[in-house]
Amino acid sequence: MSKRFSKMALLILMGLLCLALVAFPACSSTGEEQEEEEEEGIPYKNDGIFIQETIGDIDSLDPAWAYDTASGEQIQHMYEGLVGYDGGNTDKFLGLAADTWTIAPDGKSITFHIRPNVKFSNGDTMTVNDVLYSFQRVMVTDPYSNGGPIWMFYFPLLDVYDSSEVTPEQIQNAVQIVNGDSIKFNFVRAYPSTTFMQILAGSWGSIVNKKFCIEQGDWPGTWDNWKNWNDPEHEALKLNDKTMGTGPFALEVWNKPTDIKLVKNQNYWQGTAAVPFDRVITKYVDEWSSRKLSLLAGDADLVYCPRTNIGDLAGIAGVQAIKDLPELSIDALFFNFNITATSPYIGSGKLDGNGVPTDFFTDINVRRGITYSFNWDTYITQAMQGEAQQVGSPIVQGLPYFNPNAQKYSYDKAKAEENFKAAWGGQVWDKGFKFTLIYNAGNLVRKTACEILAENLQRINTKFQVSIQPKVWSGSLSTMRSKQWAMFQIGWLPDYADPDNYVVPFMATGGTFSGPASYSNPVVDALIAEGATSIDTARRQQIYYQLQDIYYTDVVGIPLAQPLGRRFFTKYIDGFIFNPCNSGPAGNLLYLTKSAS
Amino acid sequence: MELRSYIIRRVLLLIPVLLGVTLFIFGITMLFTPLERATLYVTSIRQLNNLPAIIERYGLDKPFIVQYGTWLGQVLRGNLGWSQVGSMPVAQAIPHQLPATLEIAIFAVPVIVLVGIFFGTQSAAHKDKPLDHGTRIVAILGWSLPSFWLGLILLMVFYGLFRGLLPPGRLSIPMDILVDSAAFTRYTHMNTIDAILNLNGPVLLDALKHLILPVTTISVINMAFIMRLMRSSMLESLGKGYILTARAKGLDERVVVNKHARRNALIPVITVSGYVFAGLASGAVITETIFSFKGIGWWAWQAAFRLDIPSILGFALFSAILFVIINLIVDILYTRVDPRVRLGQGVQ
Repeated sequence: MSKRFSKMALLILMGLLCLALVAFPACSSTGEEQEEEEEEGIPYKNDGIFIQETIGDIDSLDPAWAYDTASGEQIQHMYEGLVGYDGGNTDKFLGLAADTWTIAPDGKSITFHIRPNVKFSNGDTMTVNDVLYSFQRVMVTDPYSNGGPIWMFYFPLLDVYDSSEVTPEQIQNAVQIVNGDSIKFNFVRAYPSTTFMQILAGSWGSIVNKKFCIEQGDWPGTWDNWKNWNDPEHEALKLNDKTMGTGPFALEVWNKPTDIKLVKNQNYWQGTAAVPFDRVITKYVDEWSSRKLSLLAGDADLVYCPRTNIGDLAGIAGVQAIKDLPELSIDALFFNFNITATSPYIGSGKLDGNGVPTDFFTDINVRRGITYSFNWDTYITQAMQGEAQQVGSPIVQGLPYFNPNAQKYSYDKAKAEENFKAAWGGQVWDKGFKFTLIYNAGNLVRKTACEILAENLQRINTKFQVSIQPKVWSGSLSTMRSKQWAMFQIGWLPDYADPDNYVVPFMATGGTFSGPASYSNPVVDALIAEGATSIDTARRQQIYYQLQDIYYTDVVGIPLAQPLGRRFFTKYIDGFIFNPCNSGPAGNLLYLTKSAS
Repeated sequence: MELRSYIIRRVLLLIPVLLGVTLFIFGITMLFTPLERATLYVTSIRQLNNLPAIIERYGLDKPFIVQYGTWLGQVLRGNLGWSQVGSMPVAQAIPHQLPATLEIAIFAVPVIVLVGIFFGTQSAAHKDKPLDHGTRIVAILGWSLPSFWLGLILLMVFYGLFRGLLPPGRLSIPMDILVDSAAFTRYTHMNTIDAILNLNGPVLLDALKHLILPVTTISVINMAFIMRLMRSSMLESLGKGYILTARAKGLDERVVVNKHARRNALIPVITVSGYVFAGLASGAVITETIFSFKGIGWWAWQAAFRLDIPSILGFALFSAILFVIINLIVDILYTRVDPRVRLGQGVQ
C-alpha cells in the first residue's frame, strides 16, 4: 500500500480529532468568552419580516374546527371577526368587521352594524351576507363529535351545547340580518354582553368569504341538506388549509408541519400602512437549543422558551425579555369524590393502610389535611422558577370578579395533622393510606407538584404513602375520564376571559374536571347558572365572590398557581402588548414594529 | 433463477410481511382500552365529555378482527386514515415528509459507505500501524458519540459560535420564500435536486449549507460502524490463501488489497450499507429534530409520542416495504460483487 495514501488518511483522521478538540472548549465556553460573545449582540436580519419560532403545530385553519392556540393564532392573523380586543384589555373592544353595535336593554340581543368597504384578501368586498354566512356556517359545521368551539355560540343563542338536535329554523332565528346592513344575535335569555363580545373576538368568530367557501365545496348556504356539512371528519373540512379573510395577513403557504408563511393583505381595510410586516413566518421547532441559537443569530425575532430554560437567555445582550405577564391559565389538583372501585391506583381500596376507599375524599378533613400539606412556596420557586402566583380558586387574577382578598391555604403541618386526626373518625391517622398520583409524562412542573405533596405527607405521618407515576397524555385523560384517579392534576386555558369559563369546568356538576371528580353541589350549580346569564354586574360580582369562598371552604381542589408568562424578542421588536386572550406569543401583530434602530 | 421471477417472488412475499407487521402493531394498539384510544382523538380537554361519542363513531369497542378488517379495507381503498401529527391524510403525509429524509440519506449514504470502506481498507492494510490505531480510535469515538450530543455540539459550534455559519432548517429565509414562490418549481421537494432542475445556484448552495451538519452528524456515527466492519472483513480476506498466492505471484500490494481482498470483503458491508440506507430513509429522528429538518423520522417519532395510531400503522407499512425493497437490491448486488452467488440459491 502506498505511503502517500496512508499519510493522507492519517491527516484526515487528525483533522477529525482536531475538530473534536475545537468543539469541546467551544461548547463549554467560560464566562469571559461568553461576555465577548454577548458584546457582539444580535445582528439585524430579514427586514420587513417577522419570524417566530415556537413549538406545537397547527391543527386546522378552519374557524369552525380550530380549538388550539397554534391554529387560533394563525387564524386571527388572517381573519377578523366583528370585534377584537382593544390593546391589553379583555373587556374593551374595537370594531373590526362591525363599526358600531347596540345592546338591547333587556340583554336578550346584540345588533352589529357592518362596516362598509371592508375587503377580503382577494379583493372581494365583505357584505352583510358574508357575515351572516360566517356565523351560520360555524353553527352548521359544528364538529361536536370531535369537540370544537362552537358550543360557545350554541349556549347563549339556543341554550344547547351542540347542533345534534337543532333545526335550521333555530339557527336562522338566532342570527339574522336586520335593516340590510346589520347582524342581530338573539339570545335565548339575557346574556352578559361582555362575555358574548369575548366569544366573538375568538378565532371561531372569524368572518369568511361566502363565495370563496362555496367554491371550495363548503356548505352552500342552503338548508335542504345542511346535515351533510354538519359534524364533519377532519379530512372533510374545506377550509382546513385554505383561507380567505379580511385580516391584515393572507396565507402564502402552510408547509405542514414545519412552518406557515403569511403575506401582507394588500386589500386590508385599515390600509397596508397599518400592517407592520410584509411577511410573517412561524416556524415550529421542537429543539430548544435550535430556537435559542436562531434568536441569537437574528434568524428569529421571537422564540418560545420553556420555563425550565428561562435562565439560558438571562442577561444576553440584544435579547428583550418581557416578564411577569399574568396568563389566565391555572393548574390545579382535583380530589376524586367517587373513585372507580376497580381503580389500580387506590391500593387495597380500603382504609387499612394499604389503600384508600372509593369515597375517601368525601371527608372534608382528608381534603383539608392534604391541602395544608402542599407547599406553594416550594412549588412556585422550584417548579415555576418563581414566575407564578398562588390563587385561592380557579378564578384567577385578570378575570372580572376576581377577589384579591379571597382566602388561600398555605403549608401548615400542624393544621394538616389536626385535620388528618379528625378524618374518618381518626382511622386515617392511625392506619395511614396509600394511593398513586398520576402526572402526564414529560411534564416536570406537574411531577414536582406531585413530589412536593408526596414528600410532605410522608413527613406528617410515615403511614401516608403516595407514589408517583407518569402516564402518557392520552392515558392520563382516559384514566381521568374513567374516574380511576384518586387525585388528578390538570391545567386550564380559557376560551374567553369570564369567570363562567372557569367555574363550569372546575365546580359545576358534570364539568370538564368536576365531572370526572364527581363533585356536585346544588348551591354551586345554582350560582353558576345564575352567573352565566345575569346582566347585573353587581349581582355577578356577588355570585363569583361567593363561588370563590365555596371553593375554599368546601376544599373542592387545590389550585396550584397562576403562571406569569415571559416573551423573548430580539431588541429590534417594539410595541408588544400583552393580552391574555390573544392566541400565540406575539399577540396582535398590528401593534409590533421591527427596525434596526 | 431469473432476475424477473426472483423479483416477483420477493414482491409477493411482501404481502404476508405487511399483513404480519400491521397485525402485530394493530394488536399492540388494541392493548389500550377503547377509552384510551378515544382520547387519542382529543385535541382539547374540553372534548373529554365526547369520548363515548368518539368510541361509537370509530367503532373502538368492536372486536379486534372487525376493527382490523375495517382498517385493512380502508387501506386497500387507499385510505390510511388521518395523521394528527401531519394535519393531513396519512397517505399524503408519507410522501410529504419523505423528501427531507431522503435528501439527508442521499448525501449521507455515499459519504458513510465510501469513507467507511476507504478507512476500513486502509486500517486493515496497515494493521497495528499508526493509521490503524488512529482509525480504530476515531471509529470507537464515532460509534460511541450519542447523535443528540454530537448534533447539539455541531449546532452550537457552527451556528452559535461561528454566528450562523451553518444554520439549522432546510433553507434560509430568503431562499425559503423563493422556493415557495411561483418562480420556483417543486419537482421532488428535495431542495438540492429541485435547485439543480430549476438551474438555481443560490438555492443549491443554501440547501447544501443546511445539509452539512445533519449529514455530518449521521455520517460520523454510521461511518464508524462501516469502518470497523470493513476492517474486520478485510483482515479476514487478507488472511486467505488466494491473497498469499497473489502476493507470491509478485502482484502490486495495491492490486492485492483493492482488487482481490476488498472485493471479497465487501459482501457483509453491502448488507449493512443497505440497512443503513433503509434506516436513514425511514428517518433519522434525533438528527431531524435537532436540526429542524423535519422528515419522516420526525413524523414517526411524533406519531409514536402522541400515539397517533393511523400514522404509526402507515409508517410501519412504509418501513416494511422499504426494507423489503432494500433487501432485494442488496441481494441483487451480491450477484454483481461475487459471481459465485446465485439469486435465491446462495453461494454455489
